Amino acid sequence: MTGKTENARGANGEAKSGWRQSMAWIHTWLGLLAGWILFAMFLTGTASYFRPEITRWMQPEVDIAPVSAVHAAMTAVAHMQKIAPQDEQWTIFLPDDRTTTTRIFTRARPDPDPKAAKPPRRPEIRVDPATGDPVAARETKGGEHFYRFHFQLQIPHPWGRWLAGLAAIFMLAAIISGVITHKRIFVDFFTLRWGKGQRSWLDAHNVSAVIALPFHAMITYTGLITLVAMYMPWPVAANYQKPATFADAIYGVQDDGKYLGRRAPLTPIGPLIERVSHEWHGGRPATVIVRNPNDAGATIQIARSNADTLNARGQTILFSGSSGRRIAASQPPGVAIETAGVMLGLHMGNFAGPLLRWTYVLLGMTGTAMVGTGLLLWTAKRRREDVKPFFGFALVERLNIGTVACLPAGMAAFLLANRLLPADLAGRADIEVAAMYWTWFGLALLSLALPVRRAWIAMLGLSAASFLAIPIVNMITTDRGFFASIARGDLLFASFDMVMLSMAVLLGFGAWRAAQPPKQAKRVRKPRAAKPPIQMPVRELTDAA
Amino acid sequence: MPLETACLAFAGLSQVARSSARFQHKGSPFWSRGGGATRYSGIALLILSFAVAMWRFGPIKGPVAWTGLLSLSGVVLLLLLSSRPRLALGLTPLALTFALLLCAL
Amino acid sequence: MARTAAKKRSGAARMTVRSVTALIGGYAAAAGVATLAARLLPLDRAEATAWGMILSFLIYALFGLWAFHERRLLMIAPVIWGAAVLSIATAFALGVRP
Repeated sequence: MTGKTENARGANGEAKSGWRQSMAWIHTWLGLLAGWILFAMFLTGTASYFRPEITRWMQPEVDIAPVSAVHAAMTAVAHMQKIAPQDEQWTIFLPDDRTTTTRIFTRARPDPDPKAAKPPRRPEIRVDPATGDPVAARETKGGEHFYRFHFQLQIPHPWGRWLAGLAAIFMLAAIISGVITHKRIFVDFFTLRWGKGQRSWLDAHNVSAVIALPFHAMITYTGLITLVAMYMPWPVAANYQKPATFADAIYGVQDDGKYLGRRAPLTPIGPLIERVSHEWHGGRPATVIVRNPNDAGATIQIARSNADTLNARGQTILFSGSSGRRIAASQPPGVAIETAGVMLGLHMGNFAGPLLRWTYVLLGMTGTAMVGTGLLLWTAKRRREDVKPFFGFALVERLNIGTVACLPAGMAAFLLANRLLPADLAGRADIEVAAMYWTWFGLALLSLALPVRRAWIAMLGLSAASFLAIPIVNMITTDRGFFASIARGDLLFASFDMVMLSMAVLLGFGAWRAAQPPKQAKRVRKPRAAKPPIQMPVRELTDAA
Repeated sequence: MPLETACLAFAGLSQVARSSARFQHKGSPFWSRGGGATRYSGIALLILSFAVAMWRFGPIKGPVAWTGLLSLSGVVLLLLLSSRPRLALGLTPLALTFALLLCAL
Repeated sequence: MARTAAKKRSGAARMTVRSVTALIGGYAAAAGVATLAARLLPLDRAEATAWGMILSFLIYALFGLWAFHERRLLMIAPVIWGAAVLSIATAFALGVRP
């Protein structure tokens, strides 16, 4: 706990403010406390950039041809009219070139009796856009699972999001303190020395952090902004009697539609979609929100796709649901709201084409490496071969293994379970999710039985093996194996297998490195009383750990 | 795929790296007379890669794309530099040619 | 022996106060400042609200980091908790924007 701010004097006697020391200290603590959660958030968040692709991979039976937005909207509405015509709200996500199915979320009308139990949350409905029938494929959460975990951590609402938010603010503070404390941030830009133990870990941590610093800073801050309505609602309360008014200001149009209790058939959706595309000069509609369908007070709000713009909150147009009359369109947002929308868009990355999406993924992995190397650096610095480790050290080391080496295996288990469970098994979606947690925590617990070095090798090795198994199991259990996909020109399935293989190679490399005998550093043991004859100016980086 | 931005960024970063003190000392195989010229050529290439990004991705997505691709090229360069420095620094002309070809396509 | 044990306890107590001030006080101060800014900025209502919300995280991080830089607890605690109490009280007193 030392190394804080006794007024330190520099080499030439000038007074140093001590910012470097204090920021080094807090940076270490912030990184340590939040590191394991952040590692998991970075890894699952990175995977989430391929959310629809993972879902498609996990439903290999599905082979859907694209249809027009008009057709998709019509079939979706027809389906909802069949199964839930009296619901309070249908939220329809029209398919695009990455998500081939129409996704529908629906909210049941709450019981007017205030004492009645709230209706349970309805699961996502996936519909074939061509026919409107539910997608006939194995039930799975797909890429949604990693996405939800990323910001909810599988902890009940609202605690999961709060915990993720806490980790994120720790990350923000860690970035700021990391930059302040890093003395020669530009000179060391390209320094990465292998095989030098603690030095190497520090290099790797510095470099992975600095080289992608704009990305890391952006992702962290914009991540907080994605849930700002939950984390910082107070300014809204100070400016608005009814918070809902602010929501309208952000999301576009004031929707005054109310449930009137009078039945009125819902206006056909097709012409509305056409009008909207026309008004947006060819812009694609992405979301259709129908409030109080089949009621005289029904409204339909259509939101524009954000795939071609940075601002994630696209324009919206509001129609009357009973008459089809155009009520209003969203106004161009002010600077602040546009900024928030762009921040959201930058985090989600929906605007990114294939190249930029891969860039996001690779930079996300760099971020994961930044967090991981930080955690490993902490133990590398404090490891003493001759002394039994203190409890905190042992704890950190075991948590490191449990997270860095075992979480990948868990994620692979989720994908493997998808292929190994029978396609018609009831409740298989939840079993797949359970597979991830049982594998992750099970391996973490198992690793406690092994000595540290062997635990690293074993767990990294198992993770590598589990990723290697995915293409193999895929080939055995489906007809969309690697070679078949290449022959068919199926880029998604083929590249998915390639990515799994790359993960296996990466983790295998890690296991191999962990198995290398540790380099015996040549240390000249000086007797304690001796002092170096000349006070050499310290050329080292400020030790941030 | 509009990779020219990344290639130019790689080339630019590689030149800047080459001009750094780490590689510019007597006895280094990368020693070049015009140390300043190397650095400036690197910076020029980075500016060029920004312009290309604006051209390829448009004025709004351009800066975002450039920042991301610049960082990514940095990671690639760095990994190469740490294990095969000669290869890493020697790839500059190849990266430039590739970029030129992609621009032309 | 007793003196070092006592010193350890007081050190732990100081660290606790510092941490709570940074974590909770910092949040309160950031929320208060952001709310007050949103309430008072002479901008369109939605714009001011949005700016307050956007900047709040930066304010929180800066308060929090400063709490671990400044050595004197007697400086940190009054400033951070004071900022929190003052800004929140003022915001309450002003009431919702008319």
